[in-house]
Amino acid sequence: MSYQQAFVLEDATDFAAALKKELESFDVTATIFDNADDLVEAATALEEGMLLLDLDMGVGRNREGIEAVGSLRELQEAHAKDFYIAAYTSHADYQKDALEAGVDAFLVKDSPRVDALELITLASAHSIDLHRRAAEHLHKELARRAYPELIRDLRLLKGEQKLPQYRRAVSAARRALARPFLSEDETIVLSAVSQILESAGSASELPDDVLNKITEGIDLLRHLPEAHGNVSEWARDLLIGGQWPIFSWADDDLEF
Amino acid sequence: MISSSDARSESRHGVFLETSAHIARVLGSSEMRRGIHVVIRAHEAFATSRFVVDEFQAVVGRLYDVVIEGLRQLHPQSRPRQVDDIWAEILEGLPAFVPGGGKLLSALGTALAARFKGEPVSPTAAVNFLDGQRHLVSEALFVIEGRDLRDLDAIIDNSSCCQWGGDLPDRSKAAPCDTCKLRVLCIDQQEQFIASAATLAQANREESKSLRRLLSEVLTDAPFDLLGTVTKNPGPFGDVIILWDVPHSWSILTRDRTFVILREKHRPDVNVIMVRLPRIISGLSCLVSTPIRISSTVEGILANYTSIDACIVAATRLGRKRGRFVLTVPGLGWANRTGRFERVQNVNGTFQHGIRWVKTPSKPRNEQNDSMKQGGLPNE
Repeated sequence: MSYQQAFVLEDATDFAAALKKELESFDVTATIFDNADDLVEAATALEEGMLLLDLDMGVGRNREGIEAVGSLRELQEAHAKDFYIAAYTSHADYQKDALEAGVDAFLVKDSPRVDALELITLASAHSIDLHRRAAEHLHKELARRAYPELIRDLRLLKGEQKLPQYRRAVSAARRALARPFLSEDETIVLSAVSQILESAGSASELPDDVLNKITEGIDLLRHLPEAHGNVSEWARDLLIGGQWPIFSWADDDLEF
Repeated sequence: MISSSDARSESRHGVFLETSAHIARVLGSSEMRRGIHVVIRAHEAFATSRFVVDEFQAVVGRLYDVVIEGLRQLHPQSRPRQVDDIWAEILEGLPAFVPGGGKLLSALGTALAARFKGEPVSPTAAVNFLDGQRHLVSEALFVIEGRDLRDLDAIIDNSSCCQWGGDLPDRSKAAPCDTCKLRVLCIDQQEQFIASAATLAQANREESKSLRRLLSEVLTDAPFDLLGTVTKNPGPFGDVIILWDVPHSWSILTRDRTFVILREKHRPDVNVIMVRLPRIISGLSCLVSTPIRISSTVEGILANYTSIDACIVAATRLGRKRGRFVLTVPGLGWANRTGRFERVQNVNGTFQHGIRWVKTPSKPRNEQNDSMKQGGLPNE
């Protein structure tokens, strides 16, 4: 999940050496550069990594770091690389330009240990976000395929082969409920459908009007997010119609 | 308030559902729900109150939140495991105070284990299930007899106040204080409110100790700020507020014996109906053996029973409170069922024994159907 390589643009050699040592203590291979052109050139061979650039490189070199950030982002776009770019700067003016150039985070020089930890932590969180977004995209693709199948299973419960189809529908609802990244609407509908299916105990205990109603709920999930407002209404109709989607857990002899 | 369309001829005004009755109605067994709905249908109208709704959410809603938060702390989230193991891990990380206390938490854990029937489940699956249920439960609170309380004039509001804090949501921050409903109870009707709180303070109930302290504090202040004290302490004062939410000459449906105590002194116009499982009428002969009478089995009548308790009538007192016995009912095919005496009452020379099963008997399906046919009205 976390990046294994780091490129650091830093002209203060003692600090750079200490930072490299700290990064390597966290199993990150660190390379120090004292000019931006060398760093950008080396980055052409880097697939993914953390890049920490000191934007305050001294007289005449004020734009060097910011321009390097722009070049790194172009490189990333062109070759589908995964760069996490952080910058050292204490100047508010530089921060605005650096953000426009594509810096992900700003660090203020503290100690090599703290800076290494901060860089790795921020980059890991960034990486988690990227992975999460990718997984959510996959979940949407999965939902597009799985919900129509569940609807088909529920419709088949009205047919002849009830027992295998009932088991299949129960299992499909359980699997859907175990998936990560469900939206609130999905948890409401799947929790209700799973509860109704399982508490019925068999397909013969599921009248057609109940099956129609829970099929309608799954169908709403196919049309999210557009159908978002309809899910609460569906749940309310379910309760008003007397279908009980609630998991009973209060003891009958509970005393207050 | 809303009228029930199939009210019975013996109906008695309306019925007010208190928080514990809602918990049983929404989260209890289907048998319990049926019994509650029979009671509701036996009245001309039904209602609840804003305070009850908020208390339900503060107890049940928050309990779901706490458990869901506990589940989210487990790692890895996607790995299935036994519910018992997951539950043990959650319990380790829970805060000292859990809404509704240990009884509700324990009931939820036991039922979850039963629901998944020993099959492994991932924390993600449990979170998704409970998250969905939490929304459904909040919605179910408002639906009674196929009607939505929010669409009807059936949520009594005597408790809106801009000063609420603590466990309950801040409900009317924008409202000027002099429009708050709770002012009527705490200022205009202060005397009766304090009197009922004082009764509860002396009643040896869960909230009594807190009430004794709060009342002694508030009454020594001059002028005393009852409204401020009540809104900062909804827990101890909650049942007193609910008592005065109940409309005149209505019944209150509850599982909380506090209302029996409060009614006696302060609301004689109100009828308290304790939520119980529907009784299955039996009238069959039974044989009772106790450790004292082990050699001589005594004959009695099993008047009625549920899956958790029963009433046995006999010519003599069969045992003392908490004492155990063994029951045989040939007519039901029951042999050596163990129970415990809870109450004994002498009614016109015969002894009625309220008992509780030590091991809950598993009731045959046809018996449950019979109870539906008989209406199974809980005893009032």
